[in-house]
Amino acid sequence: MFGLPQSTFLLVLGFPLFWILYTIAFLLLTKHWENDGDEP
Amino acid sequence: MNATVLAFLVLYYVVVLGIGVWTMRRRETDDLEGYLLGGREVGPLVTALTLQSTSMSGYMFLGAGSLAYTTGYWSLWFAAGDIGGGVLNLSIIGRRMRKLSQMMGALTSIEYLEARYPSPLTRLIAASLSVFLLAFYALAQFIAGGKGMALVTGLDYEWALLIALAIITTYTLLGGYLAVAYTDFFQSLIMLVGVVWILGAALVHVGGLTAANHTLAEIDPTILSIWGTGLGFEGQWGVVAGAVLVFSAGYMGWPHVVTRHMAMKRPATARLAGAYATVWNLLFVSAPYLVGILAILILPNLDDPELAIFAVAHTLLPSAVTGIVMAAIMAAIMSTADSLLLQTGSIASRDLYERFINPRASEQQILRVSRACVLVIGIIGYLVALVEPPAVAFVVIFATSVLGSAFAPAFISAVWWKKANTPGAIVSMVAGAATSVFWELAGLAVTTTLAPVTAGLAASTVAIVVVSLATQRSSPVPAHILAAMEETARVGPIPETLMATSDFALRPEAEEVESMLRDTEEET
Amino acid sequence: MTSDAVAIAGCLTSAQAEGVIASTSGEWTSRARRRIYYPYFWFHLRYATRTLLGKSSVRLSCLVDTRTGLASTADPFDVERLDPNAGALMEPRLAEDDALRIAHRHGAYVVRNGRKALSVPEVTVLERCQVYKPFWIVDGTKRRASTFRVLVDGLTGRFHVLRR
Repeated sequence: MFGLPQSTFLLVLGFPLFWILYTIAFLLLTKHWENDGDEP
Repeated sequence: MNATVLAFLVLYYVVVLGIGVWTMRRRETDDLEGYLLGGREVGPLVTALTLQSTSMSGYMFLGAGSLAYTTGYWSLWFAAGDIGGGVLNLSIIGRRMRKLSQMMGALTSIEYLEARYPSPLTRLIAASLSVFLLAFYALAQFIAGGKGMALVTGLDYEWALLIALAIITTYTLLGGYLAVAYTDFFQSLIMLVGVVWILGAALVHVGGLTAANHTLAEIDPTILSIWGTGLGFEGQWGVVAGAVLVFSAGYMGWPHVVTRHMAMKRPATARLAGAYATVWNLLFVSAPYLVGILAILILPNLDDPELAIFAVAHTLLPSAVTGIVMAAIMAAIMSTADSLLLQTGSIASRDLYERFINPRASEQQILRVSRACVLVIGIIGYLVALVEPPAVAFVVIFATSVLGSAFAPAFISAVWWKKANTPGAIVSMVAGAATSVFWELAGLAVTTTLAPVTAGLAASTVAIVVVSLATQRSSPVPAHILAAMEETARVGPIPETLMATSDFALRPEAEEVESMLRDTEEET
Repeated sequence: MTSDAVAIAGCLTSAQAEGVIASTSGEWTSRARRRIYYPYFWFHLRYATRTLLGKSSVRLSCLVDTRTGLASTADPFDVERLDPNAGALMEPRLAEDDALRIAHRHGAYVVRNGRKALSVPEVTVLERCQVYKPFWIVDGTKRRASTFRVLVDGLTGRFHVLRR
C-alpha cells in the first residue's frame, strides 16, 4: 500500500497504531488518577 | 536569500519582541505567567503547546530531515520510538516519581536520584554525566542554529554561527526578556502551521505519497526498504532496536524531561499530557522524516542534507510564509539551546558547586557559576561547531543514547523495585554510560550489529539488578525510602477504592499526624 | 496565643468529611472523630527580575509546611479566626525566618525555571502569616472488628490513609 513494500508499510503504520493503543490503554487504566492531589 | 523571506523573518521577530514588551509592561497583573509559574494550568491546549514547543529543536529540523534524506524509510525506525516516548515516560515513571519526589522533597531529578539512592557519589555521577551530555545536546543546537542562520542571511557559516551563538548566549545570560508562556504558545502555533504547510506542499508537489513512493522506487528501491538505502542495515535487528529505543527509553534519561514529571501539579495533567503527546507526536515526529524522504525527489542534489527541510520550505512555500516559518524554526532552535544551557548551568551550580564545593553559597555565587558554565560551554561549543561540526543527528542520538543508558534503569527501578539500592544505581549509571560511549567510540555497532544504546541499556539493567541483589545485606534500602515506596504497609484492612484514591500529596502531613497521634496515644 | 491563630477558611463539616470517605468505602461506617489544625507559614512574595525591557514582576503565593519544611505554591484563600475548641492545634516546628528562607528558595527556583532567567530576582515579602489548615480524622468501622483511619483535607476533601 502507498507503493511501499510490506515491511515498510508495517513499520510506518504498525508503530503509530501500537502507540495509539498504548495511550488509550494508559488513559483507561489510570482513570483513578483523577482523584489525586492538588496542592494544598 | 530572498528579500521577502528576510523581510518576513524580521517581521516575525519584531512581533515576538512586541509580545514580550507588551507582557512585560503589564505591571503586576502578569496573570498568565504567575498562574503558570504557580503551577496552575490555563487550559489543556495552551499547556500542551507550551509543553511541546520545547521539543522542537535542531534535531527535528536538521537531524531528522538529513537522516531521512540519506537513508530513506529506514530513518522512520527512530520515529517509531519517538512517537511513544512521551506517553511511555509518563506511564512508567510519571505518577510514581511525582509521589516519591514529593515525599522526599526533591526539586530536581538529580536531587531526587540522590534522595532515593543516598550517597554523594550518586549526585556527583548523575550531575557530571548530565552536564557533559546536555552540553553535547546544546552543541547540536548551536550547529543547527548556525546553519539555519547561514541559510537565512546568506552569510558564511563562520559568521552565521557566531551570530547565532551570540544571540543564544545573550538570551540565556540576560534571561527572560520574553515572557516565555506567551511566546512559546505563539511560536508553537506558527510551527504547527508551518510544518503542516511544508509537508502538505511537498506531498502536493510530488503528486501524493503513493506516486512519490513509486518514483523513489525507480530511483533506488532500497530507499523504501526498512533496512536503509543500499540495504546497509539489513538484518541488523540490534541496530534497529537501538533506533527504536533511543527516543523511547532514552527519554527517561533526559534530566529536563524527567524533571517535568516532578513539576506536574496533578496526575490528571499527566494523563492529558500523555494523550496530547501521542497526538502531537504522531504528526510532528513523522513529518520531518517524511519531508526529508520527499526531498530526495524535490531536491535531488543537495549539498548539505541537513538543510533538506529548510530547502524544501524555501522552494515550495511563498516567500512570506518561508520567512515566517524559518524565523519560527530558528527561534525554536535558539529557545531549546537556551533551555539546555540553563539546565546545564543550574546542574553545575547546584548539584556540583553548591553540593560539593561551597554548601553555603549565596544565590549570587550560584548564579555566577551558572553563567560561567554557560560561557564555557558557549565558547567550547563554538570552537567545535566551527572547526569540525559533527552531524546534528549524530550528536543528538549519541547524547540521548548515553543518557538513556545511564539513567533509565535507575529512574525506573527507583519507583518500581524496592530492592534497587545505592550501589546498584551507582554501578548501573557508570556501566550504562561507559558501555554506550565505548560502543560508539570503538565502532562496535558495525561489528556486533547492536546499537550503543542497546548495549548500554543492557549493561545498566544487568548492573542494577546484579549489584543490588549482591549488596542487599551490606547496603539495604533505607527504611524511610521503603516506607515512602510502600504506602500500603501497616494500614490495616482497607477498602480498595479508598486506597486507590488516597492522595499521596498529603503524605507528608499524614506522616506528621500519624506520629502526633502515636505520641498522644502513648500518653493516654 | 491561640486566640490570634487563624485558619484557612472554608472547612468541610464533619458530615461532609464522613461523606467523602463513605462514598468510597462501601459498607464501612465513617465517623469524623476529630479535627486537627496543621501549621503552615504563608508568604505572598513578589519576584522582580530585571530584563532587557525593564523590570518584570510576578507574584507567588507560597505555603511552607512548618513541620516538614516542604514548600509549595498555593492558590489564594481566605482566613478566619480559629476557635480553639474546634480542634487540636499542632505545634509548628519551624521558625518564621527559616520558613521564609525556604519559601524564598522555592519561589526563586520556580521563577527562574519558568522565566528561563539567569538572574537573581529581587524578592519582596508582600504579606505573611502563620496559618493553620483544618483536617478531619475520620475512622471507618466495619462490624466493630476492623477499623481504618483516614486524614481528610478539610478544604479540598482529598484524603490520605493513616497507618497505625
